Amino acid sequence: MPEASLWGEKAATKRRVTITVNEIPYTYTLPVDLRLADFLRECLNLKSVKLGCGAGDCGACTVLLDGRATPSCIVMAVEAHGKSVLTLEGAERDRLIRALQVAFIEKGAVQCGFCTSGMILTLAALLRENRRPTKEDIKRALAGNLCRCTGYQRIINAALAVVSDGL
Amino acid sequence: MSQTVGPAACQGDSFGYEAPGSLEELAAILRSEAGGERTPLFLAGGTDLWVDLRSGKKQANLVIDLKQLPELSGVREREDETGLGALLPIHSLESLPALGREGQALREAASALGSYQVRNRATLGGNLGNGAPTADMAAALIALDAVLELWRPDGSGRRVAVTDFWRGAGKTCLGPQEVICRVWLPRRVGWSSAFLKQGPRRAMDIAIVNAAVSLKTVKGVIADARVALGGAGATPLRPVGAEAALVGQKPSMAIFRRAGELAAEVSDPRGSGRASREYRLSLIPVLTERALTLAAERLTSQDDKKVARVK
Repeated sequence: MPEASLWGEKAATKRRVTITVNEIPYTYTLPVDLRLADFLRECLNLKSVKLGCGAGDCGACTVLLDGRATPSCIVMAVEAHGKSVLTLEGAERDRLIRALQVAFIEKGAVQCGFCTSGMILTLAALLRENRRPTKEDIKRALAGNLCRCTGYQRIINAALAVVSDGL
Repeated sequence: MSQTVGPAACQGDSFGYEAPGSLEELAAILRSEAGGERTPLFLAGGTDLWVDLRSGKKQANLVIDLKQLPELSGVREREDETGLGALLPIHSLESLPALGREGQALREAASALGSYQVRNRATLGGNLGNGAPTADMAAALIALDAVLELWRPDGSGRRVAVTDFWRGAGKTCLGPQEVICRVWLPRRVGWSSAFLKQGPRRAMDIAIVNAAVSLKTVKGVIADARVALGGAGATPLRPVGAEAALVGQKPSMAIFRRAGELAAEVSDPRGSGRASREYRLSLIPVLTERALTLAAERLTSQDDKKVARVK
């Protein structure tokens, strides 16, 4: 069960929302202060979404919200009403994301794995905007995805491998 | 699938969320809350607001989400000005063609803000409404002579020059029920602009100091100039003395250095965890001079292109 309220004793009102997650529409009645990340992890059991800093700084909770790389810890579930969310669990049929996953494995870009889902979804969003990003573009896009294992070089190499494969 | 999550007992609810779909709906919500017990806060991207509510830095028991308001969205073009909706995500400004050649400072300021994810979420209006003296959009909009279109629930809109928007540390001229609808940028044919930011790190950080400038030359002489600084005082600053020193001069390292010195003279930065007052004071002339040099280079390259076309 997700955290009841972020505001201590105060209870939050609830709203009925419909959010399409990984192509399936879900209708829930949720407290208005429930974070999208908590909704995805606790209500839908989508544990690829990691909660790191909770302040939009670390990128571990990145999901694609209507296609845009979005920190799901600073978006409330009610704000996603009527929108569509993609997490890594829903990406099996996505060729670009599959290619990124394979490249991450082949280039040894996964260490502890905590940042990996956020990294891959951020890169997928970048590559959809810009098919041929430079190394500098990739570094700039990943500035908000922290890897505490500091495995950045291999992550960037994995991204570059996908770019040069021209997917 | 339908399911209820959270505690069943939700009587006496005290934290609310509304998402009006039009300004009329927003006005109705504000009227019904007037004199009530709830204090509303406006929500745009939420990259600061949700964090501040969670940490207790801000309190609210009603959040009014402005993201569904069509009046605050999109780009509107008029003959002599371009209106940027307050809800435009910062990321969309990074490559917005409507900004034209003269709007480069705003593109650069947008690129310098937060992370890719934050730029996707954070909005133009939200960055201003926060009132931070280091807001990356602030200096750029001052350098571009922006005018803000504000809305009040009684329907009495007003236009405020961006230089009159800030009223002290974290304070703006916005009334408690007032909303930024649109940022209007005048067309400034023949101008060039530039934005530079120095933060503690190269990315993902709030500015220590940022500088935005714009220049227009006529026959190789500076005909008009704007200089704007963030982090140089309690509010974003427009050092008009530095601008005056530029007008009538040919662009040169010496005159740009002089303008930088004059900008520093009227600056009154504070020391903070991010940087000392002294460091800010030493950054201000350097960033101002560099931004002016960059804007001047862009003027030259524009002229070159014109010449090339004539040939």
